[in-house]
Amino acid sequence: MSEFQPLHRESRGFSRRTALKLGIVGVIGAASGAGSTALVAHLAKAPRPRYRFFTEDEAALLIEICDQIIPQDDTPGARETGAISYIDRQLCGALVRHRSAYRQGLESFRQTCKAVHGAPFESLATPGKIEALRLIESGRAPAGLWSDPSAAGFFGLVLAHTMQSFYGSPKHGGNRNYASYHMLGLDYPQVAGQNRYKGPST
Amino acid sequence: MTRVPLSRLVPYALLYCGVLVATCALGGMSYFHFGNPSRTCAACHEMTNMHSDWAASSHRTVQCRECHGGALTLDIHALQSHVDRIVRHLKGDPNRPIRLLEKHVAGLVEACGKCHPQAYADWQSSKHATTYARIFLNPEHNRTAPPTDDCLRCHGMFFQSDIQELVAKAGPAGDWNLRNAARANQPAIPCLACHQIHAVADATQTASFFSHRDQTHYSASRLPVPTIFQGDRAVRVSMDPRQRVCMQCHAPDANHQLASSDDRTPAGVHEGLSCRDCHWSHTNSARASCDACHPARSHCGIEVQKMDTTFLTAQSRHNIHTVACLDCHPQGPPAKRALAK
Amino acid sequence: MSPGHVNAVVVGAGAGGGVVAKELSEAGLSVVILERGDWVSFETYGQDELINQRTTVLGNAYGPDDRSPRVVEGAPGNWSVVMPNDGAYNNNAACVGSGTVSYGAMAWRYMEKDFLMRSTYGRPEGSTLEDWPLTYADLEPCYEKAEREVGVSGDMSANPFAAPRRSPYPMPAFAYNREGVMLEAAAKRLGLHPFPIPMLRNSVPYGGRNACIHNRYCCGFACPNNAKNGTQNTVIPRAIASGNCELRTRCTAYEVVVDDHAVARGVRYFDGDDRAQYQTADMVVVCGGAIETARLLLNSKSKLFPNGAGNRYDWVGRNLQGHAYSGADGLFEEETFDDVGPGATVAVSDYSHGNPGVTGGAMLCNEFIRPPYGFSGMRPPGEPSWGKAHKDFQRRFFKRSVSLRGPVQEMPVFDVRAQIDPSVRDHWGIPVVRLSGNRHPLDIEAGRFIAARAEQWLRESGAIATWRNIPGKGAGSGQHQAGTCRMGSDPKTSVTNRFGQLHEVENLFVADASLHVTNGGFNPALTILALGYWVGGHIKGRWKGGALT
Repeated sequence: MSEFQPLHRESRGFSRRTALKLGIVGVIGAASGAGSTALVAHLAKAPRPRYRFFTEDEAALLIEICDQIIPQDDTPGARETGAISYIDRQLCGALVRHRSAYRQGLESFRQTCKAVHGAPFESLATPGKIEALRLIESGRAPAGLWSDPSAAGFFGLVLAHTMQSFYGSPKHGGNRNYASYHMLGLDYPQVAGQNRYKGPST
Repeated sequence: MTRVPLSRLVPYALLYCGVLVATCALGGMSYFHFGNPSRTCAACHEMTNMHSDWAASSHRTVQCRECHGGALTLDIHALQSHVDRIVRHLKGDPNRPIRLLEKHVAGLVEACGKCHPQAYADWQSSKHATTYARIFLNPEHNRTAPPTDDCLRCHGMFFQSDIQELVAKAGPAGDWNLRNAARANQPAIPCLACHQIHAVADATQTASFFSHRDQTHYSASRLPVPTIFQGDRAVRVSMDPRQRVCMQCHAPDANHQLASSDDRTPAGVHEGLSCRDCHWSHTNSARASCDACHPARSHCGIEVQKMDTTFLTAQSRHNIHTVACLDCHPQGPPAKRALAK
Repeated sequence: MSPGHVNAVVVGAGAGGGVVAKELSEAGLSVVILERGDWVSFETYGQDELINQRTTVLGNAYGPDDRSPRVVEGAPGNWSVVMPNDGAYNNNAACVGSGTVSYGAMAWRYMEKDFLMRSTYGRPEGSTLEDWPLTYADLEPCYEKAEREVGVSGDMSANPFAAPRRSPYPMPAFAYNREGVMLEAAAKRLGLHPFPIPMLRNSVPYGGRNACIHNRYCCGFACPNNAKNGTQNTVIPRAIASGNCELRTRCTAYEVVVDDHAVARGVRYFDGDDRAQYQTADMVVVCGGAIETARLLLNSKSKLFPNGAGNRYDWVGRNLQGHAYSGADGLFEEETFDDVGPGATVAVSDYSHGNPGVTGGAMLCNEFIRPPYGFSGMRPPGEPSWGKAHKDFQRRFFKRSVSLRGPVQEMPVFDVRAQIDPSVRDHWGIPVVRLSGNRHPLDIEAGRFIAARAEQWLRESGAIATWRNIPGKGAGSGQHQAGTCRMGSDPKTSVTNRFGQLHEVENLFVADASLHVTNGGFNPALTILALGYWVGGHIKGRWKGGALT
C-alpha cells in the first residue's frame, strides 16, 4: 500500500505534463503504426512472380506444350482453361514430388528442340510442335539430353497433369469455367433431386 | 541530478510503452480499416481476383468491411478469419479458398435489405425465407427421410461442415435437434444462395447458384439446362438462365422424368415457359400471372383463373405445371368458340 | 492414464471389424475398437474427381496420408518407397467404415465352388490352391445376416448359377440403366443369363436411411444421401449404441502383445497425439485388411513367436490375392450414357465356373460411370492420347462407350506376399510392409478368356469398336486384398482355424479378408461382412462366464 503513495502524491503533475507527453507518444505511435502498415502494403505491391514454382520462361514453354496436348478449337483448350495454374499450384501442393522432373525436364526439352529443330519450341509452327512432342513422347529424343526424367517419362507427366487440369474441378486451378464439362455436354452441377416428394404439387 | 528510484520509473516506462504499442496498433488497424483495399488486403495475390471482380460488380460502391468486417469492426470471428488469412499468406498455403463465414452470410440478409427493401420484403413473404429449424427439424419429414449431407445442397448451404455437425438425432424417429440452437432462426436459404455479390452487374441480376459441394457460385448462364422427359419424349425446356437456378433444387430425379421428385418444369399447355414467366422473383408468387399471356377467358369461354387446376386450388387433379388440353377434353379440344362479350 | 481392461480389442473399423465389434458388444462383451483413421463424410471432398478412393492423383480422400508409406518391388530386387495415393501401394481406406464408406457396394455371395477350389480344379503348379475349411452352406446364414443387417438390394432369380439362398433380399433390385437395358438384351441373345447386380445400397428407404438418388459418381465416394450401406452407418453405430463399445479413432496399433504362455494380453498403439498406449483385453481380434493385418501380426514378435504372432511356419503375409480384373471396352454410334448413377447395373455369372480350360473365372458386369478424367485414359490401342484427336474422341465417345469388367479369381501364390521391410519405418517408427510377387500365369489366361467374352458381349450389343483389357504379370491386390492369414485345418499350412482363431494363440482372432483361402470371382465385401458374423458368432458361442471357453 505504502509503495504506491509517491505516485499518488504527484498526481497533479501526471494530469498535465504526462498527459501531454502521452498524447505526443500516442500521435507518434498512431502515425508510425499507420505508416509501417502502409510501408508493408507498399512492399506487397512490389512486382511479384506470377508463378509459385515456375520461372516466366519455364511457364511460357510449358503453356505451349499444354496447348498442343489439348489445343483450342471451337472449344477452349488447356491454355485457355488454366493448365499452367493447375500444375504450378499443385507443384506447391500434392504434386510437390514432381518439381525436379519439371525443372530438369523443361530444360532438357528446350535443349532437345534446339539440337533437333534448331529453334525454340515456341517459334515452331503447329506441325513442327506436334512433331517435336512426338519425338519426346516416343523417347526418340537425343539420349544425352535426357536422364532423369526420361523424355517419355517427362511427356507422360505433363500429359497426365494437363488432363487432370482440364477435367478436374476448377478449384484445383484448371478447367476454367468448367469448360471441359460444357465440351462433353455433361450437366454440372448434376441435376438430381432427392426422390423425397413423390409426384407433383403446386 | 537526483536519481529517480527504479520503482518509480518502471510504471512510467510501462505506461509510455503501453500507449505507444496501443496507438501504434490502433493506427495500423485504422489504416487497414479505412484504407483503400488495393493498398491493404487486396494487395495480396490471393485477393486480387476477388477484388477486381468486386470492382467490376454492381456492388462496387459497397465497402469490403461492410460485409467482411474490417480491422476495427467489433467482430471476433471476422478478425480471426482476417488474421488466419494473413498467417496463411505468410506461410504460403496456396490452396485454401476464401469464403464468408456462415454467420456473416446470415447477417448479410439484413444488409442486403437496407439497399433492396422491396426485394427483401418480397423474399420475407416467400417460402424461401425459411429457417434452419423449419427445414431441418420437421419431425414428419425426418421420420421418413432423415437429414443427410445432400440436404445442404439446397438448404443451409453456407453451413461449413457436414450434416452430423448440424443436427443430431434426439430420440425416437423424427426427433432431431440442432447442435447449436442459436441457428434455429437463421435463414436457411439466404440471399447469397442465389446471388453472387461480386458478380458482374448483369449476372448478379440474373442470379447465381451457390454450390455447397464446390463452395462457389455458378453464374446462371453457366448452369446446365437439363433434358426433361415426358415418357420418352424430351420436353421443350425454357432457355431462360434464371430458370436454371430454380432447377438446381426444384430438380427431377436422376431419370429426369417430368414432375418426378421436386421437378416443376412446365409441360402441356405451358410447355417451354420459364418459371419466371409466372412466378415473381423473391415472392415466388404466381398470383395474377395468367393475365400476362391469356385473355381473361379461354377458347371455351371459361375464365382461365377459375379453371379446375392447381392454380385455383391445390387439391385439383390438374397440375398447372403440366396440364394439357386433353386432361379436360379427352376427345380433343373443341373448335375455337367466339368469345362471349 | 492407462485405459481400463476390456473383454475384446478389435483392431480396424472396416467391414470385418465393424461387424465383429457389433456382434460382441451386443452380446454383452466390453469392446474397444482401435481405428487408425477418423470419421469421414461426403462433405470433406464432395465429388472431387481428383481426390477420392478411385482416383488419388491429388490425394486419398479417405486415408491414409503420407505418414504411412510402403515399400514395393518393381523389377526383381528393385524396392521403392511409395505413398498411399500411389496405385502400387494397394491401398484400402483408413477411416471408420474403411472401404465400405466409398466402395461401389456390390454385394456378392461367393459360389459354392469358390469354397472348393482345389477339389474343383486340383492344385495348379506354382500355386497353393486349397479348399476353404468351411463351405458355402456353413457361411450362408452369415451372408443372410449381413444382407439384412447392413442392407442389400438384389434379385437373383434370373441367375441360375447363384448359390442357393434361404430368404429373399431385403430390398428389391435396382432397375437397369440405359447401358443395362442394352446389355441385358444382348446377353440374352448370346444365351447368357443376365441379372441385376446386388448392391449394399438402398433401392428403397431401409434401416432408417434414405433410398439411393442415383448420383453420377458413387464408387470412390462417400454417399451424400446416406443410401450406401457400410459398417460406418449400420453396425458400428449399433455397437456404440449398445453401450459396451468404445470406438477410438486415430489410433494406430503396432503390436499385439503375446505372453510366454501363448496368450494375447492386449494391443499397443499410438493415440491421436502420437502417445504410446497399451490396451489390455481378454482377446484380440485383428481386422486391419489383408496387408495391415499381416503387418501387425508380423510386427508382434514375442519369445514364443520371434517371427511374428502366428507365424511359426512362415504363412503370415503369404498368398496375397486381389483380382486379375479383365474385360473389354466398346464404342457405340448411339448414346449409351443416361447419367443415371452409379452406372454398374447388369452382370452375368456364366463365366464364373465351368468353362473348359479356365481355372475359376469371373462374374462379368458393366462398369461404374467413368469421370471425364478417367475416360481420357480409355483409348483403343494405337489411338492418340493427346492433341485434337484426343478432344474429338472425348466429344464423340464420352457418352457412347461401355466398359465391361470381371474380377478374375486369382490362384494363390506363396511368393505373392506382404512382409516387413528391414529398414523403412512410418511416422510412428513402426516398420512398414513391403509387397512383392507375380501373378500365376493361369490368372492371365483366365483374364484373356474373360476379355474375349466381354468383347463378344459388347459386339452383340452393337459396339462399332472394341478392345480388350488383360492384366499384367505383377500382382496388385488393391482394395480386394485377401489371403494373407489363410484359414485351414493344418497349422503348418494355414494361420488360423476355420473360425479365424490363430492355431497357437487361442484368444487371438482374425476377421477380415486375410482369412480368405481363395478370393472368389466376385467383389469380396459381402463375404468379409459375412466372415465378421462367422467369427463373431463363434466367439459369442465360446464366451461363457466372462471368459473364452
